[in-house]
Amino acid sequence: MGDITLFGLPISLGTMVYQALIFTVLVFILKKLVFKKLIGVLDNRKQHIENQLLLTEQYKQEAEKNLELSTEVLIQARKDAREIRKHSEHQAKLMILDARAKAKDILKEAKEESSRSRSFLHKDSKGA
Amino acid sequence: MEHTRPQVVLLNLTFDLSIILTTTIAAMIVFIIAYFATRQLTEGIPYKWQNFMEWLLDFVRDIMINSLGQNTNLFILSTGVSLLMYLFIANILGVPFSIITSEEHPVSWWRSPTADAHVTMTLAIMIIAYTHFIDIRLHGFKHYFLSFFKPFKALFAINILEQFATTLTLGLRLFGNIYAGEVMLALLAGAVTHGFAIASLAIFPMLIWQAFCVFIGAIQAYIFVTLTMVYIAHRLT
Repeated sequence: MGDITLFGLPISLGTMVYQALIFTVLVFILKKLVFKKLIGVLDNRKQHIENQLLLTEQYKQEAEKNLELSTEVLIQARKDAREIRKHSEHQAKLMILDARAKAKDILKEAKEESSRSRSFLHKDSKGA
Repeated sequence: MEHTRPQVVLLNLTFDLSIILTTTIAAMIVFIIAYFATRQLTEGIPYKWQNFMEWLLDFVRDIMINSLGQNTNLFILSTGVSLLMYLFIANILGVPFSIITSEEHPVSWWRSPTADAHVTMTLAIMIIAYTHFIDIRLHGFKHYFLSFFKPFKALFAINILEQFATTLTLGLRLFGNIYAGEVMLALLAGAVTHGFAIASLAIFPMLIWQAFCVFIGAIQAYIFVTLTMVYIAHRLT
């Protein structure tokens, strides 16, 4: 049974019309209710991720720059510290030498004083 | 095994009630899945069902980009996704069971709608008609008419034949695959009537064949969508 026959095959046009109708309706409903929104969400997310990636790149560059800067500061600080240490060591050496000389002087003076006082004592005891 | 179809005549048109039933149910399942999966959309991390729909959309978009290039036509994309979902559901509707009433004229009520050439040929004709429509709208009627005489006039007959051939192959490829699967399933299921021993022997091939039918259903839906995109791309250039 069919509306028309093509090469001996019965074809029911009503079924085909209904099939065409229901698929068209399905496509348009899904397009309107589902895919429009879904595409919007996907595109927005893509945009968002792209922005985030750009931001990351920017932050990365900034971080690299900061790292370079801090390394420079660190190197400068090490150099300064080394100089200060050298300087202070030199100073300390000078101070030690100075102290030694002074100590010698003091010793000498003390010796002289003691010998002087001894001779004075000697004389005194002779005189007495 | 002989069974007829539940046909009614309305307004001089014959309607096959079983196909109307199954196509309507297939379309409703597709709509329910698509609608409820995307009811609460988030632009952040998608949850399970939204992820599924996004994956499907990206899948079809990849097919589209492969054949059409960077094209953001929403209608073609939604046609593709709808086709994929609808065909897959329609292809596997008849896999778990079929309903055939047993009166003196057995009537088949439930089977895959795509196991009927009416459904697949209608879809194929719609797709090909749409490609022709695109050509006319994009390049004008003159270009469309002249395209049948390219590359030279003698090929007119072949060009006309090509359009019929693509329509026919597009529809009948799907129909043939699903129909063959259904016939095989019906044969295996028929083993139940031959006693317990034969029925238990048929269980294992039945299981394998059902799995294969699901696989074939997915593959054929994919092929149909891919070919649709290729035919559309053919008209766009």
